[in-house]
Amino acid sequence: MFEYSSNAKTGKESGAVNDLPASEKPPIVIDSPKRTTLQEFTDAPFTAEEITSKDDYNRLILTPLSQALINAGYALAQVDALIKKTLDKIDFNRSAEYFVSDINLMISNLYNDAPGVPVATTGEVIADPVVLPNPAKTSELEVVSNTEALPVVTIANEGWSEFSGKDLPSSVPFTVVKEFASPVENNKESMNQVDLASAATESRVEEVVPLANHSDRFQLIENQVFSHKDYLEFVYQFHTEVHKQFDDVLIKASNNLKRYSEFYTPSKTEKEALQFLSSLKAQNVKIRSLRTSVMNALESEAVVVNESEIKTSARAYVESSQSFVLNIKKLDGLIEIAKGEEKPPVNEAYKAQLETLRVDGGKILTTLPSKYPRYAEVQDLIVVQLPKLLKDISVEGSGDQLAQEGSEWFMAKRDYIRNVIKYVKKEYEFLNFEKRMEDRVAALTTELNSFKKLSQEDESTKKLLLSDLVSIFETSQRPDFIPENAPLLTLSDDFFVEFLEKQKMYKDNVQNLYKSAETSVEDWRKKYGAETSAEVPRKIIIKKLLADTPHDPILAAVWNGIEKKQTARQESLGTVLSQEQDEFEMTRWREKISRIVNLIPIRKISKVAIISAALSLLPENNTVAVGPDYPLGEFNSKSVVATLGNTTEFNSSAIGNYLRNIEAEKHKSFLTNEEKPEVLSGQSVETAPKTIHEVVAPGIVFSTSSKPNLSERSISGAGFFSPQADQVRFDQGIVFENAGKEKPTFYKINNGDIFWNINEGQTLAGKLTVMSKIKPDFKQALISRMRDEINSDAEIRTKIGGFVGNDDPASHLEVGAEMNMTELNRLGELVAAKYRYLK
Amino acid sequence: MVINNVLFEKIKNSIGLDTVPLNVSNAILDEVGIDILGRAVQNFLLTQGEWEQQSFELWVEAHSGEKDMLEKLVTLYPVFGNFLIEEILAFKATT
Repeated sequence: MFEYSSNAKTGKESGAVNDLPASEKPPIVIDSPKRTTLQEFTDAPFTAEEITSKDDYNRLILTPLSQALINAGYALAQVDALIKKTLDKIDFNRSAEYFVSDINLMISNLYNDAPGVPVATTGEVIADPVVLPNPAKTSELEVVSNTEALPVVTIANEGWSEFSGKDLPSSVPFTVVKEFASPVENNKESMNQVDLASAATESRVEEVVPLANHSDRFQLIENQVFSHKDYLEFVYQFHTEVHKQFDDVLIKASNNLKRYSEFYTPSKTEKEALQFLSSLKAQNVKIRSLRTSVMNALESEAVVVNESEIKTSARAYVESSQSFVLNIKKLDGLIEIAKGEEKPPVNEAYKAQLETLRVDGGKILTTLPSKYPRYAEVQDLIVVQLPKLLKDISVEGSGDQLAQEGSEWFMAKRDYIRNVIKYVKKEYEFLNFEKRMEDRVAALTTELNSFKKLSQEDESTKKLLLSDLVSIFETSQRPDFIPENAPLLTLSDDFFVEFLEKQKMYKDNVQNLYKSAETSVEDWRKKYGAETSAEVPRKIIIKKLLADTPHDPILAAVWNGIEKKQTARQESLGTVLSQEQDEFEMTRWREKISRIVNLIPIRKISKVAIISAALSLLPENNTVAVGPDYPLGEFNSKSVVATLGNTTEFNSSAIGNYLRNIEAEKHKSFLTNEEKPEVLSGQSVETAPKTIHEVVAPGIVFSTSSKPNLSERSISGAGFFSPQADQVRFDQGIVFENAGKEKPTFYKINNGDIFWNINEGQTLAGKLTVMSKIKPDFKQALISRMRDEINSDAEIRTKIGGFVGNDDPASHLEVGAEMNMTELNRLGELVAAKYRYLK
Repeated sequence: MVINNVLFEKIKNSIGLDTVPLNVSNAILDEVGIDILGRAVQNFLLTQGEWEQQSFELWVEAHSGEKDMLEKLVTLYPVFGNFLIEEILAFKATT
């Protein structure tokens, strides 16, 4: 257990009076110096060589030290508590040197506490409440097996008698209560660690006065002249006993009542006992609060003891505790009865569950089509695995044992099968296309019916309903909704038209509403005629468009790209799905992707794509100028900086940069909280102001030397642009922040400012913009992350400024120093983005 | 490299997108976008675990309709951004 190094030194570093150097000490343990008093323990600290095993620890330290402490005037419970407290601090896994050093330190501390002084006054040491001044109780104390403890009684008696009620240290009773609150746990822990001075532990249990005596004693205490001390002792003792009984019954219940509740329904008695148990727990809470109020009264630091309060609360506590104890006994009896009842064997319970599963699974299996991808799996589970499990568990005699031993395994297997069956059932329902379609039709019909009922005036409601109708209709037409080879159901265009015709009185309104809808069915039909319904209307539009403008080569090229892409997409989807070998997964997968795609602003992306595609189709002479005055780019072969026509230049970083900054104005204000730069939208190209800032983009060098005149901005690619091109309104689009122009705001730190308050906006510095951009819940988290960043990164610290020292600098601000609030805000923004605190 | 609406408008004009009604040009944009975005989303999801897929979906759901949603998305999910860029470049290559 202990590891020792050969050159171990004495652990005690200061105040050690060890005459024998470690090397001269004989390695034999028996020869270690005799230590019987605390003085001797202190004078001769332990060495690592002395203690080679746990036995040594018990023999050399625990027992003699306990004895020495007792001799020095500590009561048994005090010794117990002291040693236990020390043991908690000692790490048995550390090396022997540390261990011994810990022991020596502890002994030295004990000695410093000065023997003879009532230990209870230290506030840490627990007084022994068991020792009673009442001579009538000494007979019980004699039960203590350790006869040497007898002198303790007298000493402790003196100690106790010194206390008047008001002088009693307030911490004592509570500490005691905590110590005894869960005796079982405490015992377990101490057993696991070290064999404690067992005498002390045992005596503690045995010293408890039987409960029957308590009511008599309480009567006695009540009748005699009020004594604070007597009350305190009584309440403590009473509580210890009651709680012990409660703990015992809890353990008994958990051992006997719930063990197999997973497998069979509890009997009547068991149910009753379980109910009783829960009510008992609730009662315990009440008792505890009563005890707390008694203790509060007893511990009150008021100069005059509130006699009546103590009496009343103690009486209430004792009275309700007595019914509590009766209930405990009743529960105990119930448990005894339940124990005696015959229980079904565990394997029978398993068997019943597995049989149910087999019936359920069999039903599902018959409804599943054999082409269903998981069919084989389900079949294997239900036809092979389940009967095997049943067979295993049904073995005469050994079945029960097997079930108990492999309980976890059985449960896992059972749960797995159950889950598969559940999943398959759900999945099958989803695959049932007819059913889903019927649901849609039903929804649509309901909508239509409510539409009919509406009067002409309900315009807004009608509009809402109509949009619902259109969306339901569209969904039912979506290819991802309709699995391949699925028969098309009744919800056809005809159905919709029929409805419209029937509702002639609403027709005008409806048509108006349709007109407002960008992609209404009626519109499509009017414009492009009745096409076969299998095609997505959007495609029809594009085809029509292409037919209308057949001479536009670039658009045609783009369109070709789209079609190529679509084929590629189909193929790639196919590869994914052939890996999965699962039609159902395919449907789900498609739905998932289209759901996500529908939520993302798609046109922004297609803009980028079309631009990049169109650029790659430009003649090579056409290049784009990117200069300080022309961040937006213009087709101009004269001032060439970057060639967009070359496909390599329009690279991923450029696109990435664009994607991240489409809403640049917003972005900028978010980042810097400065005034928005002049926005150029609404002005023509010719009058575009010159205040566009230089743009830094990765991988591209800009010329900053010359500023082309506005007049030079003629478009060289004549014939390429349509006549409208020059009249396009100048849209600023993206504006990047310009490092040169940025004016950081500074805040002069005032006396009393702390980092947290600055971030929270509670100082004169005002509020950080970032704080309004994050979810409010993350405010504290963000500040503490920012603090960590500042503490760990000297660079950020210098950038922001105002911090002093190297140890936890965020907590030490320099009064009068200037803090760069812009940088602080930027840090906050970065952190917020990193940890996803943004709204 | 910076692309701007001006540039876009010019190209749009040049390829005839401005000659069609707004809803039709939007339809074209959607058609192009669905291709690119769909593939990007698929490729991205394939690299992610179940939990990540779900959280991605939830994020998109929670932020859909925001004006700068795409920017946030690309910033917060750089891996997705890379897939998206790849798709855009691939789209360009096919034209």
